[in-house]
Amino acid sequence: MKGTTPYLVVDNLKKHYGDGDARTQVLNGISATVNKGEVCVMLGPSGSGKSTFLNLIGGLEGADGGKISVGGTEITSLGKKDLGEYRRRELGFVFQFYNLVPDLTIRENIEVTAHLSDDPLPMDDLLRSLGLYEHRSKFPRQVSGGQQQRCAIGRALVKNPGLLLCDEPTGALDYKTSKEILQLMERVNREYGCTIVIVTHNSEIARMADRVLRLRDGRLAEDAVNDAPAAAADLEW
Amino acid sequence: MSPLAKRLPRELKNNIGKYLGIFLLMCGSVALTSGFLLAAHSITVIMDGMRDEYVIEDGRFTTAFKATAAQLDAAAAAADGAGGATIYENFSIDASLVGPAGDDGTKRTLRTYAHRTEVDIAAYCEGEVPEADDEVAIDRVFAANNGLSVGDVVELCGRAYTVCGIMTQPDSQALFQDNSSFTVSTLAYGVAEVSGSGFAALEGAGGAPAYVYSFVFHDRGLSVAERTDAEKDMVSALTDADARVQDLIDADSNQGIGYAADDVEGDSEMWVVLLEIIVAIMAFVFVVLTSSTIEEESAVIGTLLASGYRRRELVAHYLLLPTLVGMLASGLGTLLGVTVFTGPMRDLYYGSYSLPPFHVTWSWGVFAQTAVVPAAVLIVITLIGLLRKMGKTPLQFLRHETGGKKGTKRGVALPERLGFVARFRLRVFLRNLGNFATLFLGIGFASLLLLFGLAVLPTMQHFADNLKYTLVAEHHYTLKAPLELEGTDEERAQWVAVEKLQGIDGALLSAAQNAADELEDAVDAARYAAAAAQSSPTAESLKAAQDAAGRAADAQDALHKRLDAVAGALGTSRDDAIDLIEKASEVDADSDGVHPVNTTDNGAEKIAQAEKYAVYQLQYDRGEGNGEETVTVYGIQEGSSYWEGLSIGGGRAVFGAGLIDKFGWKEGDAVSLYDKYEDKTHELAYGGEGSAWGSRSNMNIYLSLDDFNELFGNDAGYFNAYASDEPLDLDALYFASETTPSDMQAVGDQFIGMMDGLIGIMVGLSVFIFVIFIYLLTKAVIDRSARSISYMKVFGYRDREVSQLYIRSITICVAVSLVVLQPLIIESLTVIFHSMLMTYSGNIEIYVPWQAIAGTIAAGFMSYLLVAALHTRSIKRVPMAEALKVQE
Repeated sequence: MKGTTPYLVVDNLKKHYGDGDARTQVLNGISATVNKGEVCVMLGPSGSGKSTFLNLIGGLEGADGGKISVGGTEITSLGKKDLGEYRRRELGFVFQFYNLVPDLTIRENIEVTAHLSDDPLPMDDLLRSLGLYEHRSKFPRQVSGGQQQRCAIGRALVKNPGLLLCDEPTGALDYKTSKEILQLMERVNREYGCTIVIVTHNSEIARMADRVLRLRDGRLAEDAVNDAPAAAADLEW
Repeated sequence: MSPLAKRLPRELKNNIGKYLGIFLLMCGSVALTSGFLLAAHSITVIMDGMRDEYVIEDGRFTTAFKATAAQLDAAAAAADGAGGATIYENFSIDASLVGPAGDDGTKRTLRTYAHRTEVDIAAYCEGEVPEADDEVAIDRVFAANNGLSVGDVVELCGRAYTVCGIMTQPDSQALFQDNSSFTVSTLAYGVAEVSGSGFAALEGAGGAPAYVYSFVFHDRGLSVAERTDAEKDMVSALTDADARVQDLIDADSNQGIGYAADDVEGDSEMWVVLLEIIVAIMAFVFVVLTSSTIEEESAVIGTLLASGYRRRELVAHYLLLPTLVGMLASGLGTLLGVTVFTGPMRDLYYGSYSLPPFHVTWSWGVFAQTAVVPAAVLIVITLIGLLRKMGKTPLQFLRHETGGKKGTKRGVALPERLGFVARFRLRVFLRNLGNFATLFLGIGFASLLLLFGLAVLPTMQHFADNLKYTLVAEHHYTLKAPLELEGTDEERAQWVAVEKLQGIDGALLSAAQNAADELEDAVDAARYAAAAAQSSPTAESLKAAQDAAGRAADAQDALHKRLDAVAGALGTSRDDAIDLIEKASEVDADSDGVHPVNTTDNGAEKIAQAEKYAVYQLQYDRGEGNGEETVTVYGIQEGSSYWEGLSIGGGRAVFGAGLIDKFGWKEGDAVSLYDKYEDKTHELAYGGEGSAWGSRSNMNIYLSLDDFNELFGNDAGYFNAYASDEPLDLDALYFASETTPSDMQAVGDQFIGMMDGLIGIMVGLSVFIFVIFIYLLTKAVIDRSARSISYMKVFGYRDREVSQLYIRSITICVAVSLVVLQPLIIESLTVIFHSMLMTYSGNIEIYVPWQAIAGTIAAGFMSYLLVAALHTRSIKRVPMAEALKVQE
């Protein structure tokens, strides 16, 4: 359910890499809010800081300054151990290159994260929902890229996370498969109510978002709310 | 259970070669080690119990001549301070043995004792104790090595004896013919026991007894130091009572008693160290292989960590298979070891040492050492490696930043003139630097074992040659006392008389002497009485003269009786006995400067080429608890024709090169040598390089004969040995032993024979380790490059070309490692040998002929070729889809 309750709150977020002449300010005072249940698409050219933004939200690296609050928890003040617990409890990750365990079957790859949750989603239902039920006993190398990405989404979803972070989820896929994946995300958002942050350089995907954030040179160039998001099936590029 | 565990059987199946290799190597090592350690433990338990069960002596001394009761009483009394000691006669005869098949030309010696019932009691494995005077019981190892069994008839000193029993003597657990020998001698030397009458018969057949006295302290709990003090007192008392003590050996330094135990202990330590090295290397192999897997699965790990997996959960996952393999290998290896290998390992010792019947004694210590420690070491080292590897952030894993400092290796600029192929191979090498470093170490370790195996025989042969060359003459005769070869016929006749008279009971001669003295007194008295009667002839004086004459006649009768007794003992007539006594009395045997003359004339030529010298043994404290080295000091005639090039005289000592090599003395060092018989310490200065002589196995010190006699307080002209290229016929009474170069060769041959079986095992094991190491580590390189290999195939490279690019890099690395490591390995072997042999007598110089080096390189490379063939096959099997599926 999309709501108005702020779920992800970012305040004056700063991050740089390197020192001296090699210093690059990747994020320079980003502030934004994503409400619970929203699909947020973050756009920007290469090097604009999209992935870094995602990494900071995911607690994968620390910020230089500013605050990030997820579901009321200020993660920028968490220690290493608590960050791990936060990811375990709250987050699902989907990457461009799937990162599946090659010698586990599709089902087992999803079970890997189901194992982390006390109340995982029903496995067979999820597999059917992902269109992977027929392929559940196959190994990643035996299925297509799209099916691998579905599996990766399933792996992220199965523990029913509050926040699903997707880094270029269609970057390695063809047009048709990409649309299928986006439709799947749309459905996941609808059925499971999780907040989704999608990082992409494909501006067409922004049409399906409730909120669009556009980054340029480490600054937030646009923070727009889309009152009438398009259906994923209608996206064209 | 984590769902990740489901991939373990698949991982195992997909990499069965890797896990099987590690499993086999570890399981085999553990099996051999546990079998050995349990056998060693059981043998140690048996040996520990032998001291009381078979009443092993606390020590022994040897006198040149049979000690008198008074001398033995004096020795026993000297031990009162230590609670007293009982001294037992333990005489032996070194009897030449001819087996049932007749004389085959091999000189075999059986040190034969009279059956012992109070000290050093034999353990019988077969047959009966000798009772008749023609029965002999023979040492088990000697009997086995010479094909002797109960019922065989052998000749000892030319006399026939029937083998009635096979036994082991607790004071000859290790068959050392001489306590200062470097190694046991089980082919040409053994021990035996006969009945008391059998011993007398052997003596009658010409066997010269060694007057050995074994003693047991009443307090069996005395420390070695306390015992040694008491023993010194005993020797002093013997010397004070005019006994000539030739040797004193405490049980602790008696190689026959302690060597086997020391050998077992030393070998046990070596096996444990060897196992630990193999396990440590296996663990590093695991670390390298697991690191490769982690790098390969970096993105997955990053994803899992990002998804909430804890680091410890993933570490546990990657640790699980090494743990299972390690535990299974250790457990199964131990089981195999204790059930299958204990027997063969026991035989390693029972084939060389004369020990009582074997029985296994279980040891939890051995179980812990082989079933627990190796697995624990493997797990801990792998865990440390994993923790190090897994200590990255999720993001670093996602970015594949797990391979150390990013870009340092891959980013090295390579000159273009090298050409593409060379640069490519160099890149493969740099990318797999960690694997190649481990491969280098693995090749080093396996080469060390292999080269050791291949160099042992040449080293021992070299050692035997050196020992042979240490003996400068064809015959070295050691004497009990100085014995002159030169002399007139008259002098020889006089000494024949002395020897004959020394051969009978001294009490008979004393009684004859007393009777002669009494006769002389009686004759004097009769003469005096006759003179008195003649000057004042009275009835009384005449009667007194008559009585005195009667007493003189009685004294003469008494003397005749005594002389008859002497003649009876000599087996001659009274007149001949008187003649012998007269001749003997012409010899001033008690004068210091007068030496016995050999009763056989060896002829002018032989006498002219023989050379007198003197030997004496001193002890050198090796330090650091390594015990004492027996150093033989030689007193040589200046300008000796046998010891050529020795710059001696003027107080200068020349040291055997083996001593200098073993102890590293420098010019000007004063070497302290202890005389355990006299309780004195002598210092000899090492004068630098010019004062070293002989081979690196030469453990002697050379002085001029004059300097020698001055050092040890001997009379001028003292000597106790002859060097001679011609065989000499020496009086048995003064002859102690003969050593020839062929005896030394026999020692070497014996050692080589003992090592022969072991060398095969060692070489086989080394090749096995070689194959496994190279397979595992090169496989890691191939696996790591699988994606690149598939790219190469996609680009159009043929399998053969791909193999050349990747396999050739490994080939070059293996070949270079094999060659470059050789000097390092030889140096390591030298150091290992040096430290290993520090507690042993003598010095063995590791001798690595070029054939051994070539053999190591060839065996190593052949092993590699086998592995390379397997890898070439696996490269062919890398699918092109690999490149297409994985896109990052």
